[in-house]
Amino acid sequence: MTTEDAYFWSHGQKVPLSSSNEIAIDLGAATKAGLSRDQLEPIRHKGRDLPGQLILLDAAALPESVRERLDSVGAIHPVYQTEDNTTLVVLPEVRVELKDPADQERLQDLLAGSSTDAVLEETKPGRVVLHPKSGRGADALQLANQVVEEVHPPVAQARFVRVVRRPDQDLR
Amino acid sequence: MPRVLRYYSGNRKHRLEVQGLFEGRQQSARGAQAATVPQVKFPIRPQAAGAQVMNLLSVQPRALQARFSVISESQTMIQPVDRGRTTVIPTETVAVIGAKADELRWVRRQFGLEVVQEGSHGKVLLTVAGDADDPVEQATAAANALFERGNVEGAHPNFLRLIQRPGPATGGASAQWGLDNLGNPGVVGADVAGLAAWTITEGDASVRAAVLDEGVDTAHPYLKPGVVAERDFVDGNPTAQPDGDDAHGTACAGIITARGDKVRGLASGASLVAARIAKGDGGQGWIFDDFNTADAIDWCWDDAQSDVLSNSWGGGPPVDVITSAFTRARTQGRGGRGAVVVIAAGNSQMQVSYPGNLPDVLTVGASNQWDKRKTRTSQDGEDWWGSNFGKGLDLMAPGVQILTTDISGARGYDSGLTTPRFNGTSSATPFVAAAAALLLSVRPTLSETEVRKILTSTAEPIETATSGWNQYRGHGRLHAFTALRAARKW
Repeated sequence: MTTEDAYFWSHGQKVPLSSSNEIAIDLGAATKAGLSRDQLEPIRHKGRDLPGQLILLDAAALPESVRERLDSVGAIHPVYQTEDNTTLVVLPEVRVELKDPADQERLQDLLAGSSTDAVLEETKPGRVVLHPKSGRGADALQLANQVVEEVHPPVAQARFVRVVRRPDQDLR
Repeated sequence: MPRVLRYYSGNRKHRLEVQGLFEGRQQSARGAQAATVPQVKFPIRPQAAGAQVMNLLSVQPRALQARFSVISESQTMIQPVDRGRTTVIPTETVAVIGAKADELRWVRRQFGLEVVQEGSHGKVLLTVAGDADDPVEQATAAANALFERGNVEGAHPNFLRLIQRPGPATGGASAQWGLDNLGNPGVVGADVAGLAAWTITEGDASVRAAVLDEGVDTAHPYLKPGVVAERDFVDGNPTAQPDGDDAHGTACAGIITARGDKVRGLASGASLVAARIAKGDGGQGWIFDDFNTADAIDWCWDDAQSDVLSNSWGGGPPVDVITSAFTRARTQGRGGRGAVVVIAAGNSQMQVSYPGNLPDVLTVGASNQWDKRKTRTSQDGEDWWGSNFGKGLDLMAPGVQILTTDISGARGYDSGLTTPRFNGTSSATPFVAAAAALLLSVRPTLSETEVRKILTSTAEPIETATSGWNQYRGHGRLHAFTALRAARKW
């Protein structure tokens, strides 16, 4: 799935996602992968802080070589825009709510045959979280769609961080 | 010359100067015109004590009604908003505590008093005969005689009282007009009838209202007494303290539970649960993590046992994890009765945004001091925003220049503990959440569906004379007092 035809499922509807000129960089993942402080500091300065050591910055501001390096270690996540100008960052996590054991079996089968390797974590009975081993948000989005389309559980959702317009700008 | 009545309370004799109403009652017995109580200057119709006030409230024009509220809905009392000393009005009834049947027979024989109401814990209300010449005098004499015989715990005239209550600041731009609009500016009565609602309840501590927002200053002196649970779902902290100048959640919380000299929440007796789900990005953005938001919703209704969830946030596409968590709150919260989910409609003057467009939640738009839907051209002067509308909109509530709590110091919207400038459907939403908390305080067994039904069916039509749903104003503007009365009869 390219960023041009990205989508996700919500309430049984396909929601299209428009690509953004921004990308999100996971500084934690980048550090773990051995990128030096000298390499990461410029990124930090150019971008906007998001929770969880994430930085949102203009993709064009990142040298291609650094981008490739970050991408190879799963430290870059896709960013999309929606119609109401909300920014969505996709994190490498999928939350699934299953309605019965048959859902669970279908999910296991899907994971066994999927091109996206993922670790399954059961958080509560009937609720699991999938972590793509690649660490890429793009893989989480693809995996979530696969789960919706093939397992049909009540909920299968990639993790979004959303940036919306503050409601109280006029008070500042 | 005022007459003097003496009565017993706490084994002491008290002296009371009787003025207007006493004289008026005398006149009324002879069919004269309505009397006047000097301190408050309004006509009281010459009828039985219980009926007087209800008649007064029902016959007065709206402007006057808005300035008075029923303290005891079932009986009698009214209260002037105007500051002034307490006015105590004796009636033809006597309150007796701990009287045995022999004593009641004695007082009937001696004074002609009959039992009209039996209360709990040995309380009895007696009344003089309808044809008595001076019913108040007779009631007082009977009460004193009964007490002096020494066979009852207490006996005294049953008073109506006009009292000054600690209320919101009234009048002027800094007032809590949303609770009690005196028309400065705006239209008198264009409010949620907060003062009237408080005559029934100010909220019970057993009822928990959750504010899901960018954190709440839970150490704020106006909020701290009500806080029962808090958690930060953004940074994983045990407290919901906001970051930097993130003042939005503190302002929302104050509208529900503030207990201060300058600001009082609509449900100040209810308890507060604070869940931090957002943070500012230092600019114009507001950051949410959908999974954390869903977890916060689940925590509020499940772990923190919140009865009402107030959500002054929204925007962006719908996602199943959040929708699913709200559904659990509505269907599994409160032991299966359902937690009430209240959500802001949004401030873009366009279609209601997610999650306000979900079914079976209470979605709230904003009205102004003139009882108009807030638009970019409405006369309140805030031309940079308008209330969202359309499918899903349920109720309107005040959303312009709302006086509420503020994080203190330079980080807040203003420099002190409060701000008079809070606005948006963000401020309208907690009014409705607070009203839901009040309803559950008087009727804890109501389901969330019933709470929604009561709040929407008792809303006051605005900008139209007819009731019913309208895409721009929903079912109308919240009226907490009418809703509470309906809840009591539910």
